[in-house]
Amino acid sequence: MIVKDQATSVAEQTASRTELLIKGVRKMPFFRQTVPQEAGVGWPIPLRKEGKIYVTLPFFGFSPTAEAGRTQLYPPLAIATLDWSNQVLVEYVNLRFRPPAPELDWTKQVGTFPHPGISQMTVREYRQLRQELLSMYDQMFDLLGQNNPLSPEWSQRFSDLLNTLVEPPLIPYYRALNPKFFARFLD
Amino acid sequence: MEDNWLVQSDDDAFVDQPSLEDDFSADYDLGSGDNEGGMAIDIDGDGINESFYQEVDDDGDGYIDTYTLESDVDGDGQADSIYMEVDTNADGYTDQASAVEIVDTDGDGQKDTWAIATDLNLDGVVDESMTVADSDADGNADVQLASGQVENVAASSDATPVDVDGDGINESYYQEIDSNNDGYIDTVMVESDTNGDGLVDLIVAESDYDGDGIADETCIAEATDTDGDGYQETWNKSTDYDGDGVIDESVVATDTDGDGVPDTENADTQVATDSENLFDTENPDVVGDPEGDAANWHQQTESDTCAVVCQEFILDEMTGKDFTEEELTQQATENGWYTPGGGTPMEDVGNLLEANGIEIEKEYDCTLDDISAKLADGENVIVGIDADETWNPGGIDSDQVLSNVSGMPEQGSNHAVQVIGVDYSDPDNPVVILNDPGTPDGQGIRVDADDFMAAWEDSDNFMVSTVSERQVARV
Repeated sequence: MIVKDQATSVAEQTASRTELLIKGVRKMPFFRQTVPQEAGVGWPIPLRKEGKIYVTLPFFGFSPTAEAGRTQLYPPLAIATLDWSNQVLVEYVNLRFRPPAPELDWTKQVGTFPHPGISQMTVREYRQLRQELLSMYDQMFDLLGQNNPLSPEWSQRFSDLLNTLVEPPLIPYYRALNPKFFARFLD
Repeated sequence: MEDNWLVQSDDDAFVDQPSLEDDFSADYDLGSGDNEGGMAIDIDGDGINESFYQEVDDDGDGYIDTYTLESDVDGDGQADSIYMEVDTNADGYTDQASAVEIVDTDGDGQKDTWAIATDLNLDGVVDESMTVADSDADGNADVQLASGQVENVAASSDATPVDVDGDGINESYYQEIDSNNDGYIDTVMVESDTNGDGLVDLIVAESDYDGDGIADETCIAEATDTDGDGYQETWNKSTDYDGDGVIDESVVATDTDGDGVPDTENADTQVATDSENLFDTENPDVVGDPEGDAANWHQQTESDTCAVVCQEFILDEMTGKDFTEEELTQQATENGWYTPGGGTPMEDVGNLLEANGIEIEKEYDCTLDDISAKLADGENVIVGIDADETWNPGGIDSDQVLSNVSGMPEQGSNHAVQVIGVDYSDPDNPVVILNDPGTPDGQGIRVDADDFMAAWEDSDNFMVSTVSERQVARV
């Protein structure tokens, strides 16, 4: 069981495996062939199936325009699930073709970045919190793989970070992609 | 065109008389509605049926849609003119007409060249013209020639259709010509229809007058549509008279009467100086044509159409047609190359160029030298960059609050821009010149090479570039 101070020390080290995966997925052939190069990579969603650990990455639309503070956000347009152990692609879903919640609009702009909760946060602070959260993902994947429980303190810290950083306009879509995970860690 | 009943007093090839259907269907009772028929006719009243009139259901829908009158006026047993009217929309009225003159250009007794003039809306004005030839004497046309080039075929050795751009379509016509009539081939000319509209828009000719195997004179003429009416009326001709690689004369001429032949020269016949040398690529200060290319820039109207718009810039320049972001976005969407609310997958960048007749290549791990070489060759280049690194040279200020920065930190998403020049005025600190559709000041925006390379690295230095269309046949 890991407590908060240990989680913090881990976050202070070099980039986590999750962070490297988020960056590296852009260079994978399937990404370059099917995912818009402009797309953002969303918060990873852990998945355990038949004893193996997988990670689902949502790809959402956002416009990297030069207008400060008004980056447009669009719903996730696809997800890719990879084997956490070897990063092999096991599933790709086009969410325009197979939306998990058809009652949501998966095509139109849903909001902007940054949301009010972080708009006055510096870039440095945002990067630090993001790095910490992604490091905690590493821990989560490892613990899930070992079938170890997550301590309440650890889970609370993970939840605090996720709630701070997740883009509110995308929350309905995250919940649709994995109701259980986000029901547990999102308010 | 021969002066027969098919020709009127005006310059087109279309009769002022009522349509063929009106002329013949009623008089000769060739059937009505869906019955095809044909009849030999004596048009010129000499007692010989030199013409054959026929009604045809060309599209097989059960209704007559094509009316043709084929004539052998010179009595050699081969048709020498065809007049055709077509009902293209099955409303019972013809709406398109073509007049074809068939000639024997090489004097072997076999007619081998068809000059075709088409009036697409029966307004009496020729809208399209082309000349096709039977180069292999099998009775079928297999070569498309430029308008008004029949005489050149007669003056040259066998003409050969060639696929210069390697797309499987013979868009060019290769000729060897004895330009000075001394009995020896001295000029190689390649005429190309680069945009597939049926009209030659690029002519490259190299002449070796002394027979030493080295071109003594090179002339390149390129047509553009400067007034946006869809017809490439302006010809830019550059000539190197002494084979030194330096343009000696640059002329702009206009085809004012639409016959495919320039008939006026515009004001300035310029003699190029060394500083305007198009061929000398040794240490130029600026590689590429940033001023010219910047003219095609506009800001993208949607948040994620950067790749579409970059391709629009290039298509506008290379085809002379004014493509719109809307039509290209639709084309890209229909083909799955663009997702609204998402953008364009990196490896689909360039597909719009290919689909609209521009040959391209896509490569990773390219260098600034690769870009410069492409621009020096007159090619066009699109790259994928992390826009944060060009919009925020030196990196985003970490002490800035998020509401004062653009994009999302750490996402590293890519953005397509057109590279239109590299300025080597300071060789140690080159500047890359871009057409960036994603920012209001993106027209010809200048980015230090270091910042550009850092931004480009995120895409593994991915580059889409056009392939040279000026593949000159060497003498």
